[in-house]
Amino acid sequence: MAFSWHDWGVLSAWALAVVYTFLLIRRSESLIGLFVLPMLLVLIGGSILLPSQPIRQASSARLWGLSHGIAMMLGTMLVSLGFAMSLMYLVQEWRLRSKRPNTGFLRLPSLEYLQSFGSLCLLTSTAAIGFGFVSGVIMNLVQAGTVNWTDIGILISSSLFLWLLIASVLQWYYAKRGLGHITAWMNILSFAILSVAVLLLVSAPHGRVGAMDESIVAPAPANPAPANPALANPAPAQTVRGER
Amino acid sequence: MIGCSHHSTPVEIRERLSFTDEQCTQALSKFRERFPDCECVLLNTCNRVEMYVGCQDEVELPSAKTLIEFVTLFHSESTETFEMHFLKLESRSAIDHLFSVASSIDSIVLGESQIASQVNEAYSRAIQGGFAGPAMHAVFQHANQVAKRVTSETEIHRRRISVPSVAVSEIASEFFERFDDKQIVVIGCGEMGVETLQYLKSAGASKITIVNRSLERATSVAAQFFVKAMPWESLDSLVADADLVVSTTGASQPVVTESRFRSLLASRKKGTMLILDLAVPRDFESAIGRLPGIYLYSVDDLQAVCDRNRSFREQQLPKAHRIISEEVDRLLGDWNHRSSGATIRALRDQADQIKSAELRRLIGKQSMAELTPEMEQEINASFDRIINKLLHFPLQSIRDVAQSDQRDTLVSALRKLFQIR
Repeated sequence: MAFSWHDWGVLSAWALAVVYTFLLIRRSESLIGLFVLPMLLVLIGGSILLPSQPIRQASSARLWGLSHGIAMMLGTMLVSLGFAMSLMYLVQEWRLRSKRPNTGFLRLPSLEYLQSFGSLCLLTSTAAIGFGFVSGVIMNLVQAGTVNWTDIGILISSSLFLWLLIASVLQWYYAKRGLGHITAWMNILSFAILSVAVLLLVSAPHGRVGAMDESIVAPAPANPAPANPALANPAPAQTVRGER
Repeated sequence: MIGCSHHSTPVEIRERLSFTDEQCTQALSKFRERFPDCECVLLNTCNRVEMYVGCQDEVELPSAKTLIEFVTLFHSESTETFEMHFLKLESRSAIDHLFSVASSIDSIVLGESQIASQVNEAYSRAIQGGFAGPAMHAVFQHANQVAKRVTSETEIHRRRISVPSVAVSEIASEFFERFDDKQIVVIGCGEMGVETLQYLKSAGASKITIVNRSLERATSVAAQFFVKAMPWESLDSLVADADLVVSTTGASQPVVTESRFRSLLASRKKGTMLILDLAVPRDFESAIGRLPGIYLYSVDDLQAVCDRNRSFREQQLPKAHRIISEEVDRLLGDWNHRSSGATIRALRDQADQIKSAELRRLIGKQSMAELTPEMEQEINASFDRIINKLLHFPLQSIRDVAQSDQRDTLVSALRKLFQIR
């Protein structure tokens, strides 16, 4: 089975919905939905705009391709969740700093919970994006025997991973000194960088037909000539959503 | 019901009329000696002295003036001087008042939880001494149910309104997810400190250290709460390592100045610190609250939350009053129904007795000697029909007005007309 960009986007929204359901059960008294549900809508809305052609790899690279997709999807979901948690943290911190009473309407989790959850999101998203990057590199090696380091997709995902790594270290350093808002800002910046990265990736040939790193079989009516020797005998082209 | 409370009676007067536990029992015993057909519950708290009296026969019920005289004479006080301070309520308004008291909407601190148990204690004392009867059972048991209903259906008890409880339950819990792993320092162990310790312990805090100028006092309080006590000199190192600091000293100058705090922060290896300064004047200089990672709440900030919560409780009052009114209606309705039922039963019994006597007289006559059982049964049924037809309209009228004000008049008239006792 081959997933498209659209499918991965919907899956990350689905994963965020699962996490939200869990949070809703655990902390029903808090107004987490106000911050998480818009993220969910952004992911779903974003998925509609993403290409729906399946990304297909050679059968030898399929496992790595799937790992790459799952890790990137989880990374996206965790960065989005971290963003929502950080917004909540900043609102809660502003409220407590300015000594505004809790009116009951905007009931948020404790500062400690929001900080540790935000920190967890940052760390796990770093791990997920890191694993996604490494598995993408391995996928390219298995598929093409080489890695095109100047490929826009590789450049973007490596930059994103590097940023998340730096953000994780910074948040760990500052959180120990009671500056929990640094974690929040790191998460917000990570989300902004991730959004730009996704936009660039979608506009680039990464993960599309003819791309060297993740060879894709075009949804063309005729069998095109494989751009990669590893795909000399590709599996039969699958029907894509647009052709139904 | 007669009584005096914080609403209309100054504390000096209430003090002179209040009862000790022993005096309560004595007063109830004296009351029974004087009014043997009446039931009585005596409610005595620091804010009110109230006497609830009931009687099966309204004629036997002592007047409010007699009850006031009883209370004042018990305390060897002048009735004339004190009478004006007493509240006098009857039937519906007395029940309404008791329900309001039990639901704590009549208390100084609206929604306080102590009054419901005080009402229950007063009722239990009356039961134990045999001073409570059917009327008191019905009213006080219902009062307990009403208090529970008000608690569960309104939010009158939910928001905290004392400074230490707000400090722990509403402020500290907004910062910390849990308290068992937090280093907490309580500075000073006066009344406010001890009350805060109670709330901290119930929130699950265990790593608490008390610092007080008198180590002896700190040790004694620490032993009471199973926490640590440290000498005053260790204050800086303890604060430097704390997640939460609660300060409650009576010092006239700030205990921790900004410069002192900055110097102790140098050795700090932890994150966020919350300081709850419950002292007046303040123990921590306000500039400390502007330092990064430090959140400082003064007693004024907490008082604002208390005031907001108090106002929130007041917003719940109409709902509580509505519940009380419904429950008074229900109790009176049940009562009226039961009371009408007793009259109806008595009337039917009286008619049956007349019928049986007349039937015996008739069948006992010589001329009826040859009466067959079928004929006897026919006569019996005939008598029953006459009684039913005669009683049908009066009884129907009582049932029709069972829930209205006319009911008492009609039942009373019926009892008088038919000589029912």
